[in-house]
Amino acid sequence: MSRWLQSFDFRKSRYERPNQKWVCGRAADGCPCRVGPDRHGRCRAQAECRPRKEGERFVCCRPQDAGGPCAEGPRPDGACAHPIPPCTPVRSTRAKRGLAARWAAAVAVGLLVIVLATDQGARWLSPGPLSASHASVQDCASCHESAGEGALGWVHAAFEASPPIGEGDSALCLSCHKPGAAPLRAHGLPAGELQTPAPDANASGVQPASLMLADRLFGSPMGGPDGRGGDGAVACATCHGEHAGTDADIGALGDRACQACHVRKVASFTGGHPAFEAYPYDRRTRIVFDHARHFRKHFPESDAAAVPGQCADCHETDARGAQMLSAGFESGCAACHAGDVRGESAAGSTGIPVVAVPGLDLETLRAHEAGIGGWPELSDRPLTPFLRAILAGDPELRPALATFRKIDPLDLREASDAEVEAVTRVAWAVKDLVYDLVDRGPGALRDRLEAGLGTQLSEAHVRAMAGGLPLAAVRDAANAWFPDLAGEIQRHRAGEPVPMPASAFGAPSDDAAGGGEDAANGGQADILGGEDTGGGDDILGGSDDTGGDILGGEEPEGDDILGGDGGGGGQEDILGGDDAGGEDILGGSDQAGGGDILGGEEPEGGDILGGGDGGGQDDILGGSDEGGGQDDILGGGGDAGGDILGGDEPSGGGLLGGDGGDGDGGGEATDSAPVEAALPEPNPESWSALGGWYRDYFALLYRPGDHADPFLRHWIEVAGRARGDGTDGADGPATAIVDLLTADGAPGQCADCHSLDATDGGVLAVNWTGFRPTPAVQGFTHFAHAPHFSRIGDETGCATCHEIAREADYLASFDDRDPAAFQSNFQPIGRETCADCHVDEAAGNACTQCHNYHVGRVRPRAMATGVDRVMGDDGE
Amino acid sequence: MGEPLVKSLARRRIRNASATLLLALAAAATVALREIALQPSSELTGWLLVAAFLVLAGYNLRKKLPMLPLADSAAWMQLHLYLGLLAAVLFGLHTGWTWPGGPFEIALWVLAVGLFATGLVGIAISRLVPTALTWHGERLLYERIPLLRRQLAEEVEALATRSVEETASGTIAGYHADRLKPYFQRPRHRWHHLVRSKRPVRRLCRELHALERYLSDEGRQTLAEIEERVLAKDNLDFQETWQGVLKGWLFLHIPLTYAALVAIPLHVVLAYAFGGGTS
Repeated sequence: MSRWLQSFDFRKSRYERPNQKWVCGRAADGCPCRVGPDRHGRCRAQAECRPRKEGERFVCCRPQDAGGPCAEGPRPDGACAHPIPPCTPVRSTRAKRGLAARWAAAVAVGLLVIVLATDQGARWLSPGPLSASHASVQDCASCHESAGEGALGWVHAAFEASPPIGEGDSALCLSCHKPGAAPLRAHGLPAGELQTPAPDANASGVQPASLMLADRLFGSPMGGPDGRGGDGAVACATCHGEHAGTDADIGALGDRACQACHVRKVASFTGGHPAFEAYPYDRRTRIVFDHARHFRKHFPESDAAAVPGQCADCHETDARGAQMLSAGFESGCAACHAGDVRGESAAGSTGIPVVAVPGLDLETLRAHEAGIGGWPELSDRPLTPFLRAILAGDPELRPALATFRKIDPLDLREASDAEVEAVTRVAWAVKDLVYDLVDRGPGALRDRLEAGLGTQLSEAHVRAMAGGLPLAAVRDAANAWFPDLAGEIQRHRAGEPVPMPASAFGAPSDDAAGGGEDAANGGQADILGGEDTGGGDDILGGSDDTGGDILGGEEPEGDDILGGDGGGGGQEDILGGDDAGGEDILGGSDQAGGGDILGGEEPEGGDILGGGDGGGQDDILGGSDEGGGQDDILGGGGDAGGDILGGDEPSGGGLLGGDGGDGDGGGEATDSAPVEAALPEPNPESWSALGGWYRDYFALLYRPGDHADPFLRHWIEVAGRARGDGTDGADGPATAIVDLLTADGAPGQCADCHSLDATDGGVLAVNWTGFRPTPAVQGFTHFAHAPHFSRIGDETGCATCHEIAREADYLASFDDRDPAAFQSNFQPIGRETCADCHVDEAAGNACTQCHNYHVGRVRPRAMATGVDRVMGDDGE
Repeated sequence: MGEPLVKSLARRRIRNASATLLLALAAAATVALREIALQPSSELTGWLLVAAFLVLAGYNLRKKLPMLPLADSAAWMQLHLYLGLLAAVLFGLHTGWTWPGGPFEIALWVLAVGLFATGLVGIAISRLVPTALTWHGERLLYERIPLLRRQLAEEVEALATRSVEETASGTIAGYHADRLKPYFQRPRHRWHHLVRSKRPVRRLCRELHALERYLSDEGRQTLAEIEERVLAKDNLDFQETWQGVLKGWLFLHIPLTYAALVAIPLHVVLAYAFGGGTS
């Protein structure tokens, strides 16, 4: 049974002051002095009382609670008889607590000062480890703009206004990451590119109240469609929270984050998600391939060996198992369509006229005394789009070209002087071009093409667009079209007049009935003319200096079919003779080494059935070699020749002959029947079936060789691009080139399968391949085929999702060049197809399972490793 | 009189708890909605925490400045109590209810959680200990306990001396010298008192009772008086132990507060300087 110990009687107890900082050092022993320490903790106790003097005596003043006056009383000197030995005061409980608090604060300050003063201070202040993907980041300044400014800089940064989002720490994020064209805007897309769907009144499902309330209270972080919210940008750290540990997935995005901005709030994929609209088809196919028509019509009618048996014969997944890719032409299409590309079944020309001499009304031009020099009378070619593009490279010629295109150059009777002048300028431009082609090659076209098309061309482009144009073809064409081209160009560039030669056909010419002297006709083709000095081609003419006549003769260098007596450099006549050095089929009397088939009497010629050689060449059935003694096969009579069946050579060694003598005894073989032989003259177009250049009268043509012909590909690409870059509009040469090369049935038939997409600015983009995934480019949705294969049954297979749209007019999608207007070969995939599995309890239905936030080209950090770093410091 | 006071206290508790709960729910809802809207809430909750912390720390200041007309200490205590609970919720919202990462964050987290934990302990102690002290025996002023202990020790010593004089037996004196003197010399059996165990004092009483067979009636009378003081000393130890706890928890709570007062400004600076554009 406890008894009450405590008394509050003022005579027995003292007043406690726990708020005092110091207490007597003997308090813990239960015997504190009454005085106690001062406020500085010094002991003040000396005695139990301070005796009071009453009269002559000192009286004890010890209080009652300390026992009252003592029996001994004060000493005579007035000192207390109970002195108190001094103690060491101690802090009160309260004071100890205050001291502990101050120590805690001091320790905290000290620790922070130490931390901030050390090199590793930032590491101590870091709010946590970086994620694994950022583990290599060693310093805070890589990601935090103010990190490098020191502690005072941090304070300054904390109190100054935050920089715009694009200039703060997010800008440092973007020094490594490039998520889209406008990374800090919604989905990384520039303003205005995002379509804002109107709230769908018919949308089914739940619209969570929390989402609606958050939208109403706080709006969109980057500004909603009604302008609420921020400045349109959102900092990277809003979604990507770092310093959450090495295992943290900082790319993860919750479903709610998606709906912070979206007008249409969705509870889940199965609750409120909008129905798919034509998913997954957002454009027509790049390669024109009508699945329905092929399945229904073409495959049944084709060779069974060439027909695919299942989808996988033409389609396979990409390396990631995400996208289904189409087989290429060689494995998927060539079995049936290779001949179409080569033009094997083409009805028209399979060559593309690239450089052609445009047909002109020469009669009228002569009447106007237009000085264009020689010009092929029979050409009726139009100005090709390619020539238009090249000639348009001269800005000063463009007005003339425009005029030229407005008139009919083959009928200039009604043309004004200005129009005739325009024709004249174009004619000279054509000649200049041909001359430059001979002189400088196709490389000279680069500047002209760039200027004419208004687009930049690489070396590779020009090389492919030249198509390997050979010099021989250009020289041959130049010689054929403009025999005196060099002289004319020289005179024209010198500013001298270059009059047109007289016509080979019309009244204005003096040699309409033949025999005219076309001194000024620098190589025209006369029908009944002759005595040309410039080398024109006459049908019944003669006496040309360099011309080739059909029934002519007496040319120095010309090739005549039934002619002879050329005094020039020795060209070939078919039935001619008396050439100075030409090769005649039935000719003879060559002077300087002609090779005749049935000829003889050449000084140095090698004739097949000839004799009478002067210079000692090789005859097959000839003899009478007088010169240096060459070899005849069936001849004799050579002076020094070696004949196989001959004799009578003075010094020759005949195999089956004798009596060579002085060589006069041979030549009996000339009496044998003549052998008529000539090199074949194939159709140039057919001859170029494997592709390449050929000349067909007044044009140089290019014939595509096989699939993916570089010439066609680059011309279509460049011209399509030039439609946007160029300045001459849709009626310009670029458009004409594209139209020519992509017309139905055009050589190569490129556009029959490769669609062209019109883009902004008029550029035509050619789809040379089917869809190819570009991992660096993200769309709004992503889907991987491979993981789904195990979920679809063998019975329906691919058709589980891809069902043919039998009624769709697929090919009508390609009537224009708008890829967005289309009808798919396949039925759209419905949301319910996915929703069978994509629910919470099965495959999941998070937004980011199918959707990407960052859209566009998401480029990782580009490496900038110098070669010197690769090679090492010593350069070895 | 007592019943209306209890009702008033209950009403106050319900009112304050409800207000705290509502404010906590409002804060949580605001944070959740801002999160949905991709609006970072760390700045909002951070400044709310700073404000709450200053008010909480101001209670100590208020106690030191009793002359200020800023409501009475009881009202401040209520505010301190419920605002502390609300601050705990705000702290959870501020941290996203996740563990801290870096050393400084961990230190700050420990400080905050330590404050909250010691505060909860303080609430519990201030609610439970007074009742226990009343239940155990005489309630004593903490500062007087050493004095009373000494008084008891002197009384027991006097009793032991007297027993020798009266009974010519050294039994009690010997026992006093061996067992009682150390027992009365200083506080004993603190841990037993913390778990409210009376085993030590019962053992001591058993030992006292065991001495009775060796004593005369006078001796037994003396022994009974000694036992009475042993029990009084046990109550002194109990009172001192639990009053020490009642005062001691503040040795954690207040230093933690001071340390947090140092760390929080640095945290604010770092949050703004390194906020990644979200602040």
